[in-house]
Amino acid sequence: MRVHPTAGLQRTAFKAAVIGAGPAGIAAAAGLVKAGIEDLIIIEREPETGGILNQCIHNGFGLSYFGTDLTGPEFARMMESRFNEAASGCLKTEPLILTSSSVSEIERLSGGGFAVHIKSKDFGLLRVRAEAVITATGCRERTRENIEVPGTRPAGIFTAGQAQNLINRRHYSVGNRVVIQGSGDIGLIMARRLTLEGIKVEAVLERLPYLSGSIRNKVQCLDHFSIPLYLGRRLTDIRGRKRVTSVKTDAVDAGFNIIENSSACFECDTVLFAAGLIPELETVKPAGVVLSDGFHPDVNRRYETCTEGLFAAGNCLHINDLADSAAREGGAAAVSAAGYLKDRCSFREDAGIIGMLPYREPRPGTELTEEYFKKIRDENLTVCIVCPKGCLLSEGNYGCVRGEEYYRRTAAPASEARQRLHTTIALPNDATGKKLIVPAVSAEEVPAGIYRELIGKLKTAASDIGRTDNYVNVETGGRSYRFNLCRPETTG
Amino acid sequence: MPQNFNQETEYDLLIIGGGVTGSAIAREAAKFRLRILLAEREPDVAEGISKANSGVLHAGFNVKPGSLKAKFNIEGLKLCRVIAGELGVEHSFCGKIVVGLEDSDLPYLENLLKQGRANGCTGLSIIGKDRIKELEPGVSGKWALLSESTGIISPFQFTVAMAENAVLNGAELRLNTECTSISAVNGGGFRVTFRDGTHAGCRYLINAAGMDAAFVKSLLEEHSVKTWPCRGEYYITDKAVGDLIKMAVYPVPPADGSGLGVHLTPTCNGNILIGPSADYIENGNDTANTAEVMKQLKTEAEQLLPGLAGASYIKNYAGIRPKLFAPGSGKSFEDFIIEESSDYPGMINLVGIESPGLTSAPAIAAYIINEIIGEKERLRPNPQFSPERRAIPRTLHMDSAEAARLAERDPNYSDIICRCEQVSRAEIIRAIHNPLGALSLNAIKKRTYSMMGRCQSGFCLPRILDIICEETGLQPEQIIKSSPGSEVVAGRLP
Repeated sequence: MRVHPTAGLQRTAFKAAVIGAGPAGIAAAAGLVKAGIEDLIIIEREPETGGILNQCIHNGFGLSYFGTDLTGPEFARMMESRFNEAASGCLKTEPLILTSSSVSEIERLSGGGFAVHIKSKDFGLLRVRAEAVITATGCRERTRENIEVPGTRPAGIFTAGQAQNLINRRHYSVGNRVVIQGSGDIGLIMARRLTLEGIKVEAVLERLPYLSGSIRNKVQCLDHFSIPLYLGRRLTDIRGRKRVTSVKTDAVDAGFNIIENSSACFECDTVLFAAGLIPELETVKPAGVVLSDGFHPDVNRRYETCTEGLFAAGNCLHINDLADSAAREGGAAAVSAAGYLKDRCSFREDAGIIGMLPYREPRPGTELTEEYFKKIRDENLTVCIVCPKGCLLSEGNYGCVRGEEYYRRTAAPASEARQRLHTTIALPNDATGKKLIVPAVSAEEVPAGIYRELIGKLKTAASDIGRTDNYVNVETGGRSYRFNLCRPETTG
Repeated sequence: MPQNFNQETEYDLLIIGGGVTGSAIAREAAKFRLRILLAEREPDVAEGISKANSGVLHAGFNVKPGSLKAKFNIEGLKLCRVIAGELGVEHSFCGKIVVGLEDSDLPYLENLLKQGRANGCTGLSIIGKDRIKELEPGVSGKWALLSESTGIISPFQFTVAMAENAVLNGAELRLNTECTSISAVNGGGFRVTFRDGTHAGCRYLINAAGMDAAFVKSLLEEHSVKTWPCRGEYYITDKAVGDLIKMAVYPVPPADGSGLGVHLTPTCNGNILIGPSADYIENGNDTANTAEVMKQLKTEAEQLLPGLAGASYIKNYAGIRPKLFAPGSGKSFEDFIIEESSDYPGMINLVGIESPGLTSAPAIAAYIINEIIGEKERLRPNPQFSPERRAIPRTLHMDSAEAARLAERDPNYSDIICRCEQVSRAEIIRAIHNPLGALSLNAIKKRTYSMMGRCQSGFCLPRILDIICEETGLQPEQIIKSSPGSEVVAGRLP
């Protein structure tokens, strides 16, 4: 997204402010512009826009929003393109985007509207006025401390997203042997990510008796890599003084109480917690936003919170399964906010009562139990991994055309598990001397047997990649596999 | 008595242990023209007991009259008030109530009052139900001892501040320097050997080694003293519930010993500390939190302050204190051991420095320098001594005018890195380049409160690693959390 030239912040009053430029925020900003609200400021705390998408190098984004399967960064770049297109059509004034800027407080003004207090790397301390605010501040991760796991406090304990950032944005290895607590999609994706980078994942634990994430991710992230999954089990002790040395786990019952004599220890030097996400609302709470359940902001059906003119969308409203739905919400909240700005009376009439969120956090399907997995094996079913639906396929039962193609490729007797590989490589960056870390995606599915080998060869090939190359071919087993590079400037 | 000024010793005073007491002694000594070495085993000061306690500046009613604990607590409290101000360490005299639920608790409270008055405490009174409700609406109680002179302070910030001031006033600090043997030198003085093979000679040797004080004492002396490690576990609440109490709230301990008598202590940062427990443990290094104690702490805390039910807890930690009596011995009180060795004059051992050690530290320091060493020789004042020190400014607590002024001079003050605690890049950079040369995530945490918020570094850790690499040239895999062996990341990916 084009950031306004840093000539000093001339404008200090806007019609609308959007806090956060992740999927929901960018969509909200685009939606406002399309609805004629051009006098708009977008405040993003990171140096670049895109939010969490920038570290989600795996695919599965954009299937419903754009009708195509994209990685996180690609989805972000496409959303930014859409915004830029909309913004280029602005007649009177241009939306202002402030990056590396953190909102410290949203203050409700007595005469109406808001003062947004910002700490900006480039502009210092700012206080801008806005008549309406859309908060798209996303979420934070539940920590080891939040779920009260006993034990020591050594180095080597991360949350899944934190580890994802360290690996995908900075190319740091978080450790050598990992245990993951939490079988939601984030935990499963990280299990695969770590394994592809040569880090051993000893186990994925889930305290519920059923898988928290999708069956698709279980298959493509755990089964393809032979990573054991233990349902109904949780960490009960972390050991190690300076660095993690081992963990103790116990089986738990439906009430999460420890079942006696069920302890199992794992030697490891790293623990990842994928224990759930929490809407991040600390900036808006001082403005009077109410969270009746202590977790989600109360909103009316137009996404407006208890505080008039303050709207919420995306993961800060409720945790979304997919970025696509967060983006859609951002757009819908923008339509509402625009309606509010144009005609408060009709907006009020239509908005409905503010109360508890009508929809909840996605509940894991409770059917993904050990028995379910056994049934898949016993009946020789194939889990389709082409899209998040994860249909169960068998001869004659294909779910859809792509499912049938997938079945033919993988379920036939001679073939094996396959999937597209997503990794990152470090390219030499002449401009600053620092390495540029770039997502690399295989153009097509590759067989499970050569996953690690291909990744290894791709990394070796990294040093030979030219400054403007958009792909690299890697040879193995007499075949050539192409990896597309998602450079920031070439997509979107 | 080492009356001969042995010119060959490098130092007049060698202090083993950079905890709150050792740092206070170093600072006090720096007021005089003494060559001082403060030797600390870990990569930073305040990595032992001084890091993991309740941060209370005790009024002095919970210690036996006539004891050293009482003497140093009362004197120390006055000194802490002054020193915290001189060194820019955030503190608050928020007060404390010791709350009883029944009339039968009143004698206990009256006893504390009597004891406090005997010790010379001020600001003590017994209050009833209505006044309790006025002061702390979230707490129910029938009777309470109100102590208006009790305060709170960050124990690690206090330690860091005193150590920094000592160093700025000429004391030498060696981190990563563990004492492994001590020998007495003929004619007076001592020679200390460190783990890295280096030595140092000194005329006076102060053993302020906290949990290892008994061990350090035994490096030279045959008469050993035994200490038992006793672990105290804690919870830290989210700031969101920090308003539930304004003062420290302690319950009257259950007479039958059935509960822990869990304490609630606010912090200047806006959290509430719940704890500590008291468990004798085998391994004096085991600072783990345990499921049983965690459960007990929460249950009792929620009974004392029902508003805590459903609260978010952001951290557990544990500290260990050296007890001078065994479990089951029937004892409940042992005094500080602060004595010059009779066999080895010039070596001063501080053993069993547990609560009220934090409050007492400046008074213990004054005693050792002025009354032990000062009695043996004339100490010449250091004319360059400056008692003040400017702490790293905390933008979170500044008003916007002040924050704007700072940001104008240094734009890094408006670049927020730790979102939860609103810590700027400038504060982190200053913490990295601290006067003690301590470099670790813990060192940055202690000096800025970054990584100590509700997301526990989930957001800021990668950014802080970047800043450390930029500022120091270290490779990311060289960055430690607390001590060597606690490297945060394993290296770069290929």
